[in-house]
Amino acid sequence: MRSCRVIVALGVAVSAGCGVVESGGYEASLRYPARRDPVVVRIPSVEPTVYPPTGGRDDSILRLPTVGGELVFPGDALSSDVAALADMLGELFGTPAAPSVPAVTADCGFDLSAVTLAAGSRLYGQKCANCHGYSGDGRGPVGPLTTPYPRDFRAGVFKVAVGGHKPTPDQLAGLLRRGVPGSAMPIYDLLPDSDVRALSAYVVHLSVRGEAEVAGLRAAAEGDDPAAAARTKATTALAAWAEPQSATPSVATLALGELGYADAVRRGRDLFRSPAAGCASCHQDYGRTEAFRYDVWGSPVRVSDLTRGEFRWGRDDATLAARIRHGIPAAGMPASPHLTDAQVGDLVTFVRDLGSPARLPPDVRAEIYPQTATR
Amino acid sequence: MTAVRWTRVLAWSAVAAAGVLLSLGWLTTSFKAGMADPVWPTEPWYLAVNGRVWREPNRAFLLEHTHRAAGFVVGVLTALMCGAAWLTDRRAGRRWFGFVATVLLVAAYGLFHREMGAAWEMRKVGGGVSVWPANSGLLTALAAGLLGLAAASSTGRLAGLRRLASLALVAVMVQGLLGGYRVYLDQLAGMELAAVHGTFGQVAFCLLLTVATFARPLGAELPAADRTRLGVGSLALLGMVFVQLVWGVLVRHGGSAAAQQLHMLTAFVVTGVTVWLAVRLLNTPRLRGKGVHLLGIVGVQVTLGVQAWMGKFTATGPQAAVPPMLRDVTVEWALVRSLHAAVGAALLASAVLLVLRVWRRAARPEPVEAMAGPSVALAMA
Repeated sequence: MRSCRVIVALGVAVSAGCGVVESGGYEASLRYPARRDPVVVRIPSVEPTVYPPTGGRDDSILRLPTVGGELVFPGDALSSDVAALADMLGELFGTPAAPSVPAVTADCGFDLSAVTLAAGSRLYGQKCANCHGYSGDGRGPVGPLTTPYPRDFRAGVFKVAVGGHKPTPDQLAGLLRRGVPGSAMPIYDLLPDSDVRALSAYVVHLSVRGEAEVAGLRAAAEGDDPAAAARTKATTALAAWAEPQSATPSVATLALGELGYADAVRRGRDLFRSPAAGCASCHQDYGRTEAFRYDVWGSPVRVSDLTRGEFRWGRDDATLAARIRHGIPAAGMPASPHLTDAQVGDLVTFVRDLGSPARLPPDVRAEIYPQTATR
Repeated sequence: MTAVRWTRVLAWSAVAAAGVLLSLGWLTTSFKAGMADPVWPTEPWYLAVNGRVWREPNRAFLLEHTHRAAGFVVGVLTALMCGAAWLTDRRAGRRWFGFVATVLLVAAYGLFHREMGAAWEMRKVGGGVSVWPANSGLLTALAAGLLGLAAASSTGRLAGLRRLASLALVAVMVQGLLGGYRVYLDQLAGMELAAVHGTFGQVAFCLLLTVATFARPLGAELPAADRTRLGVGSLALLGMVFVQLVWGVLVRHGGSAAAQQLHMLTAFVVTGVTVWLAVRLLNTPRLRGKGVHLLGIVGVQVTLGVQAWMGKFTATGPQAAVPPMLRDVTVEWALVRSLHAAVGAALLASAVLLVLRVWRRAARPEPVEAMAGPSVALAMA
């Protein structure tokens, strides 16, 4: 009888103490964590020479000031400023279980209603937080072990967008549907549209919240009011999501015949290697030579090896043309406003098929893949 | 070497390889690296290509792919073991029927993976999702049916071994598919499939262990009195350890409150059943060693369980505000959790071996006419 009582008591105790986690949705009491990792204010002008070892992202960022970078440390802020900032962020953005964004007049195309954000939060907890972290800091449990590192949304920067703008709903949805080849980002092509829209909206929420937090921390570091800075940034960051993107060059010229195709590839190759386009200065040996640049998050990124034929943000002609015209500012790839649309078209034709030797004209193939010429 | 010996060697090799495979799987789960590479299927030699294993900076990717490579090794060893087991049949017709069915199944399974690889390439460029390639899928199912038919119709000496080996091969293949679809269909049911994969892996391991056990000479059967005294208890232990395994897997994959409670409560039941059974074993002269073994393993497992629980559900500092499933995973805690899973698997394997020992009956002599055929070593007493 006594043992029965012990078992019952134990069962009650265990039941009471174990309601900690449900897979998927967050508990109502959970708050977003205060940022603890440093904010990268300026990346160094020198190029990194190595990729940080697994788990070494934060250490690598901490070393940035020694090579000319600049950081703001959240730990340096006064505790009263930190508390005021946390209160303001809570007021503006709610909690993981009940996320919100400040009301804005501009329509950014995303459904940022409380219902959609709550649905997005649940999905994000199930499918994204393991890598991207539940605050969107890119530091989920498996984040440090993966390369490339999962995206930190708090900077408000997305490489999938053109020319440093915010992505459109279609671009974010396309990224989710397509995944990011060459990374651990999976394909979400079986999710219903409503789920993809909810996930995209929640990413916008995390991103705007992160930007507001950064603004607050920087204001605190400069002796300004962090709460006011966060509120202002929240509004401007949300408005930025409604801004139109840079125009994509016309790629109608890419509808080429067989002969035209071979010539376009040759022109593209010549342009690729010319100082005018300047591609080869970074993509040495078409990217096969390891080279690194700092991205805006302060992490080294490898200059893309174009012979692998992997294009993380889409391989269609329009996307590639936009990359060449407007660059990828977040990764240090410069824009090429001086190139004509025809030149961009030639470069797209060459770069698109660079990773598919069989499609290249024989002379170009023999030059880029000399080992195939000897077979 | 005779076919039985080959079966035995290959079965124990498969058990050893499966041990490595399971360990890599536990580490993959502990580090939450199951989706480090969202591409499936990949070639078994994927890591070896261009020395990628040495250059790859992505450790989660390395862990996941080492797990996949180990799975391939286990698959090959199990297929060879199954083929060898069929060669033990003294009736030529049935021997070759089973052997050819095994070869067909392996070939169809390989073709299935090849077609899934092509489907992935199509999917990557927006060509739609193929979950089950029609031709190779049907062929694989037919070959599995053929092997099942061969196993069902197998009679005579070592028929049980052949059936078990065939079942083990199918189980290992199913386990491979579960792991693959856990990646392929992650967005729809990744966590659920991961849990099934985590559970079924140990079932497949126990099947391999059973084949290995039956492929070697066993000791004399227990006296009827001992069998009566230990029979129900050994089955109860096996059942409870399996139930506890399911709760444990659910704690690792999802961590729902219900799974936590059930895992904790079942731990008391398993410990109680183990102690009760161990006392009986200690009073059975032939099985005293097994009693000591069970007590030792449960003691270690409870200690590791407490450690794993503390590491997962208690935290101090900034991590205390983070939900347990999203806390940072340190190497130390990942090792403790993986070790807890490993000792749990060892307990399940011990329970299986105990059931086999307690319930095994001595083989009956075979009719003289059935003894014709190729010479086969006497593997079972």
